[in-house]
Amino acid sequence: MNRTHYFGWLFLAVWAVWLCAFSGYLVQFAGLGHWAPQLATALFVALAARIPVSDIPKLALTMGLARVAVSIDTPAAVLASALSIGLVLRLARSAIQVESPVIAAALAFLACTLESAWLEAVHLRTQPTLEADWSAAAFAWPAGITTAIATAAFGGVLANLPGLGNLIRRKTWAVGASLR
Amino acid sequence: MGLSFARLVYLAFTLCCIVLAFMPQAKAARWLDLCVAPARALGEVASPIRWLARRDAMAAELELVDSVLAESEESRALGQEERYFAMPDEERLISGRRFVHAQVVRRFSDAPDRIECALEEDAAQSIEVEMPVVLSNSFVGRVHSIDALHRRIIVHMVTDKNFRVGARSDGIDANDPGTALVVGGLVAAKDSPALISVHNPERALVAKATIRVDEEFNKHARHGELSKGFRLGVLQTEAPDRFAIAPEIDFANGLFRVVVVLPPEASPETKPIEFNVFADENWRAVLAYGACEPAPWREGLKINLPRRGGAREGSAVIVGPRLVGFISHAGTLESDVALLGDRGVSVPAQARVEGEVAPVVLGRLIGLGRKQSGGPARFRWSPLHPLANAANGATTRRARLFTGAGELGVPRGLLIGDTNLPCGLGSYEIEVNERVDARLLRELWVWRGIELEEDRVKPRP
Repeated sequence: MNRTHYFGWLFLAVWAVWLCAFSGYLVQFAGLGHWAPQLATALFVALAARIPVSDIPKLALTMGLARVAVSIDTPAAVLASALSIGLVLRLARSAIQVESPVIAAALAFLACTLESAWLEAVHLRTQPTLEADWSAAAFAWPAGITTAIATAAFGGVLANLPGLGNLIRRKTWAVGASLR
Repeated sequence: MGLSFARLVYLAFTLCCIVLAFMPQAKAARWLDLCVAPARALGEVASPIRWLARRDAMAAELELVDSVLAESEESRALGQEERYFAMPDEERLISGRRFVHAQVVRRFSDAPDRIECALEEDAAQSIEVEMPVVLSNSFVGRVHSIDALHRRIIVHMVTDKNFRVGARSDGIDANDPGTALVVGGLVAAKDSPALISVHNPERALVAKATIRVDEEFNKHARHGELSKGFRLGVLQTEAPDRFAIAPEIDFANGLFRVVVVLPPEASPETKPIEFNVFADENWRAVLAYGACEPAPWREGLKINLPRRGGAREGSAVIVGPRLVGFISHAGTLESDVALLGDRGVSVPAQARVEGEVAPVVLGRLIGLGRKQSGGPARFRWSPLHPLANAANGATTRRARLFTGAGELGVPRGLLIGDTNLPCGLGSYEIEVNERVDARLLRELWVWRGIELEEDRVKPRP
């Protein structure tokens, strides 16, 4: 791994935390509430489709750290969700063409909904004052839909944000073209 | 996909995180917290997002400046009213006694029927073990131990299964002396309000009779005369031929202040020690740097106060005299604050209700989150005693909510917000309007109660 590669991961961490915080802004202040897309999840799926398979664990860890930086959920819960999503995306990469916008959107919907349900489940379980009320987790699907749309529409843009170029797996045709 | 060593480590780490997510107090969770400490720097990177809401933030800060003094004064006035109404008002309970006020400062998780109270008068030398402790006309328990150095006492409450006190029911008429009985401990009944057990009545009891302390048959009672006449509650039928006492105090969640009863000759009355909640030494100034929680059903922010700097889980966070939330996680380089709009926050509360002279103890409010971002915070309120209808017959009454005492992490008298309290018994969802959106503010203060208590009990070298 060379120096530019390290910078790529650093840029990814910064972009991810910005996207997490911007999603938070849309949720908390812009009035989108449950319909606010989780842009960091969209970036996660978009990059998981494009980086080398061996880098997906590092990607999952970086995305987890970015969310820990802005969220009040416990670090263990956030990291568990990010690493599990990484695992799912790694398995998906070995079975299907994740780069397709439709499949990426479906994976983003799944990742967003499961992440929300998991974090809410942990919150309910660790708060002795709360009764088991799953209504909040049931409302995870609007964010799942908008995140899926964001992934399908802007996945390519997100994966090519400034500084992230070094992380992306270069395609055979592109490598050949550069040689030509 | 084979299972290489790297994949095995990845899977093991993921599983560890899943387990630790449900054990936030585990030591391993603290280590994980240390590992993710660099995320603190990332959090600062994202803080400029707050600039998007800077106009609202400036308006909130200006609004706050205008009302701080008036609200602090309101909180102080509430404290004086609490003292006034904690005193008994029946003439026979006042005469021949001297009273020392004390504020409940903590409960013990391993001994829920004992409370620690801070005396509000320099009278610890005059207080003796076994002296009665009351609230208004109601009997609470007895002094269990005294820490004269720190002016603290521990009170053993009547709800403890090993507590016994002689009592007598009020007679039906002037010629009826009532029935002598022994009272103490709670009735073991699931899903029912806490009732106090009745033991060995000398003859048949009559429901709805008022039960008062009377230790004339207990030759070993050291301060029987001082406790005589204080109310234990009203007798009610728990099951056919089984009676229990419905207490007039919410022992579990609504006991914020008590009064120790002394003989009049114990010591001359001294000036009460007024504890200034808002004194600088009780608070740590902190800066909020992130209020953009991505989960719609959570509401919180990050502050720049780490555990080593004094952050403790459960400590109240305020701005001016207003409560905005509690530290939910004290980390290595920063802490998380769950705001009042976060589901699951729990706060002991009392209220100044329009049309009521005395402050009304509400007990514990449980946060249910907000229906929409920026709307009123919803709380679950289950009153032990119903609020009476308003004079004009209205079934809700306007009230201003303040924190109660009884927890090290929360001082009494912080302003929570305004609401309409429903009248009657039940479990209600109330909507509380806060005057300022705490997510917009940058300068906050954290209560040092838990930290100072840790310093107090730390063994000296």
